[in-house]
Amino acid sequence: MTTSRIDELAASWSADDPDPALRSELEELLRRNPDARRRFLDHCVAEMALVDALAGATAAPADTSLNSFQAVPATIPRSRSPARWWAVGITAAAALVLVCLALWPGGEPQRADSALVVAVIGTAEMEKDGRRTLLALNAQIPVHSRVLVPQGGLLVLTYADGTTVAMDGATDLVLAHADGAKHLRIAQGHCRFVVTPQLAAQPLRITSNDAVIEVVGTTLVVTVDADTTDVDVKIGTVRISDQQGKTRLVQSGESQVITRGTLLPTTALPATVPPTTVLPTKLITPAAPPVRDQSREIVVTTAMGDGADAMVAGTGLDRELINTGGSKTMQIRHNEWPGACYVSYVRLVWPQDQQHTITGAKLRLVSAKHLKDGCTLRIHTLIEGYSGGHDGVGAPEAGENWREGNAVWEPLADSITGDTAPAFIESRGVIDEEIANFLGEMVIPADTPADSDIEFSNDALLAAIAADKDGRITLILSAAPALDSSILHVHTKESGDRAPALLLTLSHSSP
Amino acid sequence: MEETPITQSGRIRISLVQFLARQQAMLRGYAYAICGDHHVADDAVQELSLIVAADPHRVLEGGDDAARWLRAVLRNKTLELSRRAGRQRRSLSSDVIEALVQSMDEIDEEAAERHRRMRVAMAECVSALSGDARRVIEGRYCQDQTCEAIAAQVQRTVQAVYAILKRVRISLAACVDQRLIQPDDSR
Repeated sequence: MTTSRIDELAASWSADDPDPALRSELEELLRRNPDARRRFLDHCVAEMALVDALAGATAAPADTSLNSFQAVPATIPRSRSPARWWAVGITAAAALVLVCLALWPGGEPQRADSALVVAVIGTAEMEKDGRRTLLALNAQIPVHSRVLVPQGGLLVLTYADGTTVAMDGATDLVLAHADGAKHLRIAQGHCRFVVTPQLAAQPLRITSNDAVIEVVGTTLVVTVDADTTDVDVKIGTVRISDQQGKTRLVQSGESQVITRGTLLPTTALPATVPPTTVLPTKLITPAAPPVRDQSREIVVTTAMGDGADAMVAGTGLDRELINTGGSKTMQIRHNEWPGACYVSYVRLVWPQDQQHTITGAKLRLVSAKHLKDGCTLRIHTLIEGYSGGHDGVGAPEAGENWREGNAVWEPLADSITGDTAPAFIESRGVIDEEIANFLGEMVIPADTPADSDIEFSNDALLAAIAADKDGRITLILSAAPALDSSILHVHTKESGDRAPALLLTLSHSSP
Repeated sequence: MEETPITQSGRIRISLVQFLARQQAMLRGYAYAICGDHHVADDAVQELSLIVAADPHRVLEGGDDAARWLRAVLRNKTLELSRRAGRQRRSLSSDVIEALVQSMDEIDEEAAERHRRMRVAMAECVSALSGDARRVIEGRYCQDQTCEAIAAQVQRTVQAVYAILKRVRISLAACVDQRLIQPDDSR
């Protein structure tokens, strides 16, 4: 094997060359030759570097010296996963190192101080008192320093209070702190800020040629070029003032452009979570429909027969203690702090002997309170035959031995916590899709009144029931990541005095 | 220079960001090797970083075992996302993927360092591209175009576009190799 041959084959593979002979030769080479595998991995790492290089180089100047920066367009590969919304507006490489920071609660508000370099790619420099020095990992950047990140580079700074700034390539920024507050001046470039709560009297201030942006705690992306500043607010609210003295509050989900010192109309950011029911992720082939359709409906009850089964919440002592099974109403919410993420479980016992006749399934919930801001309800089902196990977070507990086919929560008979609930990653407030199949999601609109019917039905739900082997199915109700924190309160018509106790409808032919 | 007090939680956070920053070039490349799709690879690494953030001690204190665990999770996550996205067309056979994952575990520090330096080297090499080579590769990587669409745009045959793509990738590989031979002046 020569290096050039594996390079050729790898390049063909990346180019999606349809020639099957080339694919076979590549696979055979990779099977038997460790050197070929190493070179192929080299190729793949280079391939991702190429993606980044092209994203950053579309408008890049030929001269990449530190004195001739130009703005980098905010281009990243299109989003597919819900998690990706954190990353919108910055290259994938920069986004990656910020993901964990964005989910990590910050420390106490603190006055401005020197910043610490926590990630660096390329030859980033610091200019202080007319002297330039290369920035290395763990370097402290004192106040009144200028930071220069070259094309293709990446620099991430953090303050002691957790406020973090990720600078993409071709960024020129000055840490011009004053009066104990953090002031950052961007001459050019593309930065993402995750700002932990600041003292109200000392907001973090970002300035450009066009605008002043004041932040007391939020996540935003700022792009600055010669005569335009673009601000995308991901979470929270920022105050932006233009050169004419005009001020505007820009809220989460909004984008503000300031051109030649003048505020343009605020626009909404593209939705990051699709506002429609989406296809299931792991479809199971449903049972074949019966030939003769004389459908009738039957009522399926929760496993405990007396209403909602359980509502659990994310990490945190209080939350873990209050989550008991048998709740009469359930709460569902996503929040940037996982401790405030609420997830509910409904376990259904259904007549398995009629499995072959089932042609339809519908989950029926009732809103228990007026929903002010709306939310996106996501529905998962615990994978068939799940046998429990430590979820990798917190201490292993007996409660994590909960099995998919159980009728009651074990070992506490009727209670679970955020820690013990199967498929709930309490430290992040999300569902583990390794052990839960995503069935779909639906938008519950803002101003949904109490006592509204919430009905969910699709092929994936039907397929999940068709594939069930033990007459019990667990549905997990969660809220998609969103920019608000509204709580959806629901019950299942089994609770309270709202008869009939109809939860899930199965239509089937007469046997 | 004024010292900034850092809490224990802050130290863990910083260590985690440093860890991810050091690993990300390799992880993204490895994910791409498994699925052959840039978008799926980025999604997989991003989801992996969320998993890591949930339990930072596992990777920060786990040594070689942690690195292996990380790659195993990456493999599972990448395959899962690839299936979900319906983008398995370019995926290699499962036995080849397993062999690649094994090779990932055997990557030495020198190779790892080379991977970390590739981003800057590639940016430099890409800046030298021009003409059809530039248009074809931008169409493919920036605009996500099919080779058929690119062929129509540059008024060449589809086979010619495949050939250009391959030639450019091979020349970029050679350029990156050349630059990586030079001493790293970034640190």
